[in-house]
Amino acid sequence: MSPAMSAAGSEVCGPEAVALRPPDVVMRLARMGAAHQTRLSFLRAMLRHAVRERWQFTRPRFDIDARGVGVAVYRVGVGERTYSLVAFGHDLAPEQRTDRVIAEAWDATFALYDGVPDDAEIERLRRNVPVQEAGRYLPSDLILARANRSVRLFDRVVGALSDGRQPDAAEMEATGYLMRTTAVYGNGKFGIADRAVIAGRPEFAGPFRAEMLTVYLIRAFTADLVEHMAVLRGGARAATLAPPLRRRLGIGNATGLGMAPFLVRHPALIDRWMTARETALARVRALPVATRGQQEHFIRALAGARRQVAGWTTDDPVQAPRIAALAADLERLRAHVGTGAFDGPMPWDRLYRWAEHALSVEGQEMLVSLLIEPHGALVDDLAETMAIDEAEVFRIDGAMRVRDLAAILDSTYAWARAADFSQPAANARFWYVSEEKLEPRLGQRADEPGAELEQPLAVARDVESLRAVLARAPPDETLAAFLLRAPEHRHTVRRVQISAHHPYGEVRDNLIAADLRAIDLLRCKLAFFGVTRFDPQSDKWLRITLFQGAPYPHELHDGDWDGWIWGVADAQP
Amino acid sequence: MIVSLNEIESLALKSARGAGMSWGLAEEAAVAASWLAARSLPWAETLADLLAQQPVACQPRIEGDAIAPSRAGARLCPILTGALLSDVGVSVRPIKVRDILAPLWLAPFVARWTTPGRAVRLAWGEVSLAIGPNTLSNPGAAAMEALAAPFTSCVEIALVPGADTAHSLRQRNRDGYPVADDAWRALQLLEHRTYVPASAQSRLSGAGAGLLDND
Repeated sequence: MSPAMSAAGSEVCGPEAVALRPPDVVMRLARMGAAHQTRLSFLRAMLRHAVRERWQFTRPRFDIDARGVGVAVYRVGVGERTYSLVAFGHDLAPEQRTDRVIAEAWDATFALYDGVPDDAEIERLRRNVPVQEAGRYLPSDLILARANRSVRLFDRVVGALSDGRQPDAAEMEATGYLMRTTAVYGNGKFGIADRAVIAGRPEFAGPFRAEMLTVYLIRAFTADLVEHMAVLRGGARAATLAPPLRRRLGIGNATGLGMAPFLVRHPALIDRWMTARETALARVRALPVATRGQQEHFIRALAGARRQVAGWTTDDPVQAPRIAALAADLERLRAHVGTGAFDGPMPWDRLYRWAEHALSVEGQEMLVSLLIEPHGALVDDLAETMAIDEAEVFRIDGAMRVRDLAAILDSTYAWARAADFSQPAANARFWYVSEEKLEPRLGQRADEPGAELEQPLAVARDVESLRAVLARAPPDETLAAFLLRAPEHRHTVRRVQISAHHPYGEVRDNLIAADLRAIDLLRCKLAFFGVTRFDPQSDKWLRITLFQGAPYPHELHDGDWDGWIWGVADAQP
Repeated sequence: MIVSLNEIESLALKSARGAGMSWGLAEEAAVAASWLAARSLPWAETLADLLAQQPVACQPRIEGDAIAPSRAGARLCPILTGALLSDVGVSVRPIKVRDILAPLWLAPFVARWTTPGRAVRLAWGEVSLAIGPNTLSNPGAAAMEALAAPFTSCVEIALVPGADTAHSLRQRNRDGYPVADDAWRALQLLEHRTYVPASAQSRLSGAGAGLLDND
């Protein structure tokens, strides 16, 4: 048994344990690029935590004028700690409004502050936050973000409300948000707090929880802002958004290549994410029967998924047909479920195995999400297993022999042999950091300068290079001695040793291939964040929606919101 | 200026790479820089001096209980040598490291040998540092200059009982990490070598989005 399989298959759950899906299935770009949110996704786990711990939300300040210029503060009480979102509204000229991370002005800018900022602190933030990267920050500043209006919808919503009318529901549904964030920075960027400052706090122990809280509060700010501007414009006749309509407003986001290297640079962390999701799936598939309550929950979520997919549009020539196929998949799934799919032993497992042959990859991955959905009590603990201290896996075991490392390559990196790097198509791209924008970029090796400054993301090529060198090295040589001779292989040796114990750590495709779709990496990461409505704008960037359908802070502790992401919460008060 | 550990790690990685280190060694430099900064040890000046002398082509050679340059008259790089000490793992017998640049940079690597019951003592010149998994003996103000020594002819490394390092780490992370502007700028110059200048084609194709966004 390979190290990967012994680690991946080690979880036993119930009398009929179901093995985790193997990394050769899960970690392919085609499947990662079809990933969907699940109840383990970070923003859903964050909201569950907020409900469970009864976080208290207030809005102590909202000084914004009719143009949307001013400052607002949202406060969150989390046990003995308090966090504050400090929001700055700006008056942005249309020619300054761009999705690019490299913009220099925005409609609104934000900082999540550790504690309650006094006037001096708000003044310090006012001098820095509006210029984002050009400012400097302190460890009391946890997250930095900015957003632009979705201008057409924003103006129409303010217009309708100021006339005392509700805005057009179809228009709101089509866009899905009033503002779109173009960057959300955490972990020490520009002097803000290192992750280590907050990693020990239960509310932020899971990955990206502070980022998700920030985006959640920004969404509340956008809904408050349109209602506030409607009052300033319309006075007493202005309306507020009807709560169900208001909840259909999420918050948008535009994400580009900057996020792509993350998945490759953090193999042990990605392994934790994948392992949690795959363990949840395996636990569900191992259940001997489906209770009536679970069946009904599944069917409700499936109906919600069908509504969600019906409202999911894109002009992207690759994604648009996939969405159409997914809609057909969900119809097929609904019909299949109606013909006794829950009868007999291990019905969830049979449903998954049916889908392997009956549905597209998009459909299969949506089913993974739907299968996990009714089983919160069985799987929600896994959301707390998705972080890792990467320092623990950094040290190379130099006592290991060359032959043992070669054996790991054979068992865990057989997939890397698929590409022939003597062929231009396998070696077509290179990842680099641009001097102009200080952002990750993807270049064409044959046509563009700078390949000698390539970032270490060409894992398959580097692994094959290492494999060839190891084949010529003395099998008994220690890696300590080998790496003294061959320091250029050091980063690859580290990855290989990490992968031996983290079977889902490696994207099992060639990341410099001519036909690479970098957007597949973004999609996978964003699905773990918990976003919906992936809308590719090219093969390198996309727009997405977060928190659409979610309860607002003031609603969070009234009613059961567990299924909000499927629109099930529409039936709530 | 005041910076975060993440910024320190990122700058150390890229400046080491810009100075010509392999990616794997640059990663070692990054993690080591963060370790030193977290303990208020002078990482930036020493790294800038060290990287100014890259590439240090001389390989370390293990000779009994000593590690020395494989070529007479040459000097060891503490990152390459530290990585070797980390790779080989804990040595129960005392070790001497000869003719090494920036000896402070061995500390983060031998720190990986430590456990709650096992500390490591590093000594050169007037310096004696006892390192535990989360502790560091107080080097004393007088030793600061010696800590930042650009070179020493001999570092002694030995295991000591864990109780020897009672002085706990100061938790700086609420205040950020001060760094000398000169050293930071020197490292940024090296970091800059890792960036690819824009070309007409990369501006068009590199990132994707390029449109105004007023919809």
